[in-house]
Amino acid sequence: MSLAPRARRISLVVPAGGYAVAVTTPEELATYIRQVAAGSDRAAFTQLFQHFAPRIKGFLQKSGATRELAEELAQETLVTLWRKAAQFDPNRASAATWVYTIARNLWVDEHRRTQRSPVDARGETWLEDLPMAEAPRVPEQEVLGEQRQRAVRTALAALSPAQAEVLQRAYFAEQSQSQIASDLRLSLGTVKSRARLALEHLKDLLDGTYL
Amino acid sequence: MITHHPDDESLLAFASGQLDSGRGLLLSVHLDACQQCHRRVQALLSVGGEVLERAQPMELSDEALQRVLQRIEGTAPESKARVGVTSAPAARGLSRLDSCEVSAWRRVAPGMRYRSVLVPHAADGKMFVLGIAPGRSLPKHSHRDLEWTQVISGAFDDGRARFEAGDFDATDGLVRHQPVVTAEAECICLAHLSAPLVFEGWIARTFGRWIGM
Repeated sequence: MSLAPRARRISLVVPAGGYAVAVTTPEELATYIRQVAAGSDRAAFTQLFQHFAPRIKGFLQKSGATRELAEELAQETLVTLWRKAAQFDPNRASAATWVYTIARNLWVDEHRRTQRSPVDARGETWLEDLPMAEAPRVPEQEVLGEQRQRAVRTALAALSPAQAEVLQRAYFAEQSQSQIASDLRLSLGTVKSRARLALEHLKDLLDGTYL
Repeated sequence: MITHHPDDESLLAFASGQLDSGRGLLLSVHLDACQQCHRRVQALLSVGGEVLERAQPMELSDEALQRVLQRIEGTAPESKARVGVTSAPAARGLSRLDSCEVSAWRRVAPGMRYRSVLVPHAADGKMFVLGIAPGRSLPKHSHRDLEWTQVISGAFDDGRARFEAGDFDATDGLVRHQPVVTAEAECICLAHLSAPLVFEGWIARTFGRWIGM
């Protein structure tokens, strides 16, 4: 995705064949979440909606959700963001990572409810308070969420395109390794070893500080 | 000190939400105890955040924003202190199982007891808490599939290595082992099986029947 100049606070980017979305800096996103938490700020919330809702919808559709379900869960994610805004801790996660976790949990829950026979309907998820909402652990090792995000972004850019591709695809729920293999016309063994190498490489790049 | 950790692929599966609920729960118990894996998962979640940022945006319906604004109308965000403040993560032990139906302790054989754990929305596999008395051993067994174990307290040695509180172990079809609990204390483990254990001997078969395998 191309980056818009930062001269204007909000600018629009139209991806090829796509839909115009607001480009907001990570720092702005974090600020908006804090504003929602502090004062039920609907204007800040609207900015967050405009940034995240279309991305969540796109992400979930790529994960195998229908358009309707992706739309519903994108809305649900934003409602959850509003409710839980006070739990957002920029020391632990960037805004994007925190929102990703919420969307992911909703998707996992939905998936379990519909795809498998539920043991009961309480629907509690083991990811619910992991790991963002936890009490701080060893303070001297805490890194700012946004710093970690930047480090991860840089590390991802340093992976070979083939490794980055396999790693990123691991995040789309419906794409098992054999699915990825057939999409990319690779053998399953190649996908597995690429994923393993990507993780190794990522670990080296993040050099013990973040991993 | 924790010396046995889940592999990277398992942590990635956790971060990307692809583990079934039983194994996800077991891994989250490990993460509560293990700073190192916890940090790794945070980094892998950040990769998820990055994937979300790069996702191809899809336009929402015209009324989507209005509908969401209506839903939050008149509600204030929840106040902060809701989860994770009552105890340090490491001290939580099995409180992660609060969302499960956990049976009372049941005795299987001398020095050996267990509690079954019913995980909400578990797709497959069996989860249970196992308590083995000091110096006792679990019957020799192999696995048809994957067994994940998280040591909650105490320690055992299965000939491959020594596993202590906080350690994680994954064994597959190739491993045939007989965990022996060290002399100091009862060893409590949380275990998840994807397929029945293959036990050798009668206690084993009784045990297998008890845990429903």
